[in-house]
Amino acid sequence: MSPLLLPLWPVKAVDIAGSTLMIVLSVLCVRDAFALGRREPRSVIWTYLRWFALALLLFSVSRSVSHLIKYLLMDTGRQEDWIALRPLTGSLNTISFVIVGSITLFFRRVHSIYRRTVEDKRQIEQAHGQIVRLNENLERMVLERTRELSASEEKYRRVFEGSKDMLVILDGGGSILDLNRAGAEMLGCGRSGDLVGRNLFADFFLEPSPAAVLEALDRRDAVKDLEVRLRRAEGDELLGLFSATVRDAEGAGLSGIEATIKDVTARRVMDARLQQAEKLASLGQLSAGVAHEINNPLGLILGYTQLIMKEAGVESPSYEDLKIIEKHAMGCKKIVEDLLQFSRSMETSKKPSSINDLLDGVLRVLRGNFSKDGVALEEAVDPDLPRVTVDSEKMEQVFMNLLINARQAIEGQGAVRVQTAFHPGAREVTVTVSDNGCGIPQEVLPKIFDPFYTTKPTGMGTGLGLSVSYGIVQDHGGSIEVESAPGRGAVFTIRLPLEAGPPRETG
Amino acid sequence: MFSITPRYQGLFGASRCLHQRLGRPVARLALTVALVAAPASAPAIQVHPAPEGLYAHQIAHLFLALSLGFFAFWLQRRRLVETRGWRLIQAACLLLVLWSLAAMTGHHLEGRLPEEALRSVDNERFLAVVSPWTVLYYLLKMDHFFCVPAMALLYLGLRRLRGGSGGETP
Repeated sequence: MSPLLLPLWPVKAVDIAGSTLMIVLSVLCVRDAFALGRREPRSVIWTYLRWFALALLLFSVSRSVSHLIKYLLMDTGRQEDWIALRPLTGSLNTISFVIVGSITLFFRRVHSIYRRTVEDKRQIEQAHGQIVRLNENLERMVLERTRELSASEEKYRRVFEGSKDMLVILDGGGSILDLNRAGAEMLGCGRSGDLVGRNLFADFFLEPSPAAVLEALDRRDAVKDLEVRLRRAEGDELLGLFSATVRDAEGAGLSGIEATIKDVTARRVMDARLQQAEKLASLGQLSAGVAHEINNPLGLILGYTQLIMKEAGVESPSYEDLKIIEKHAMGCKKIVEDLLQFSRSMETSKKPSSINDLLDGVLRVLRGNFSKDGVALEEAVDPDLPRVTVDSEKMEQVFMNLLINARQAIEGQGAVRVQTAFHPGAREVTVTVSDNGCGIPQEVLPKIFDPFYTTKPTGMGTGLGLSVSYGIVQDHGGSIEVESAPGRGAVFTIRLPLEAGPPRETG
Repeated sequence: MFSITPRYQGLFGASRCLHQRLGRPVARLALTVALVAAPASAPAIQVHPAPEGLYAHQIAHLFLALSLGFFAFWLQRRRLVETRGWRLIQAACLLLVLWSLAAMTGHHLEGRLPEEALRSVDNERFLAVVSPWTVLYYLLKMDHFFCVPAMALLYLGLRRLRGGSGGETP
């Protein structure tokens, strides 16, 4: 029985059609794979698919073309050519399988590397994001902190510059690093910058000594309200309260000092004046008490003495003795009256008067004596001086006292100057009596208005002249001040309000 | 074929002589040149008879089938097949695996086919069914029924991926 014969033309038809389709489809695959790659050029997946499609194209072309060539050669009777070509096309076909297989096999490895890379990239981006966020946060914090610091700096700078006391930052040796405006003004310099670098203790401290201050700071780490005397740039002195804290470097001694100095010069002057006024007020009360107590018996003594003198007559042998008693009783009476003047217990009769006229009257009396002694009298009166409500008699006594004192302060030739002036702002008149005499020592100045205090020899003065003058001026609501230094004369200034106000309680 | 075995005595004797006359580096260079330029035999070169090509081709088919199979499995494991584009590519791979196995079988059967199985009747070629394997061989000869759909699916998958929004990127 002959075997069943299967026609081979369907095989050939399928082969030709399939080969053609394979080429077409593989080309289309390559086109799409490349299109994918263009969409995301950096994607390893699309790159892989591109290679995969290319390898399949190689496979399809090598296989399909060889099949088509086979049919072409076989159908044209060139079997020998096909037999010669077949190993080559077969080998190419085999190689294309291997390439496709290799690419596919390696893809998993490539993909795992790709995934790891993507994951690493994601983590890096995440970390980068975190770093960026942290950085932004840090920048924000720094900005915020800088703003806070600026505000704090501005606040403390305002406190530093606005303080009316000296605030100063020094290095360990006392050199000025920073100084506020008040400090510069206190030391007599316009700008604080000019003082930076100068040594506060060495250049400005008179008392205590710079070494003593540094030692105190080193020993106690801080000082509080230490009384100091400073020399200002203009040469005058300043009293201050010095407080400071120190910054210690580890084992290296003082590294810095922050100090304040409070100017108490004006307060000290006021304190001294207050003390003086209180002292004089006390003395006035005492004097008034004593004068009143003595005045009555003194009046009796004088009255009876004068009565006995009258009855006894001039020829009486006791008349001379009674005259002596009367003379001394009169002296005592004068003292008592002065005391009462000082204590402002005397009746006064005040009316608007011309100070210039009063002065002129006194000067007329004294001019001759002054001229005889070689002391010049200089007048500088304000012709437009308004009238002042004063007790003319008592005010003349004040001027007389001051002028006589001035004359007595001059040994030999000299000059006494009298000046009047009106101060509209204060509505007061000033009378200044100055001399170029020996001056008054500093230690004596606080006592010159004390009753019975005198530097004159015994018998030359009672020590009540200035006390009485002080009392009278006070009684007119004015004040009397003195400035003097040994060898530079003295200047007495009387301030009188235009309208006599209530008596001043302070000196 | 030839041998690259050197003539040891002669060459080594010459080398010793050169060594004595010219020194060690020159003697070594001369020996190397002599070994390469004057071989006596080359037994390392192997003869490759005709069946080797078939074996290599079959191994290549197997390699292709395995690699594409792994790839299809990997696509499954990576859950890429949840998107249509990759699912089509996976189907293409599986079809190519089938094609590769079919082609392997076809090559195997072709080698065992008796010469009288191929006949010509009136200039028309036929395959005589001399055994059941002959029918299988006949069917496997039309392997384009596997590989053309596979390429078509691959094309459709790529086109799908190309038209996608990028979410298909594995």
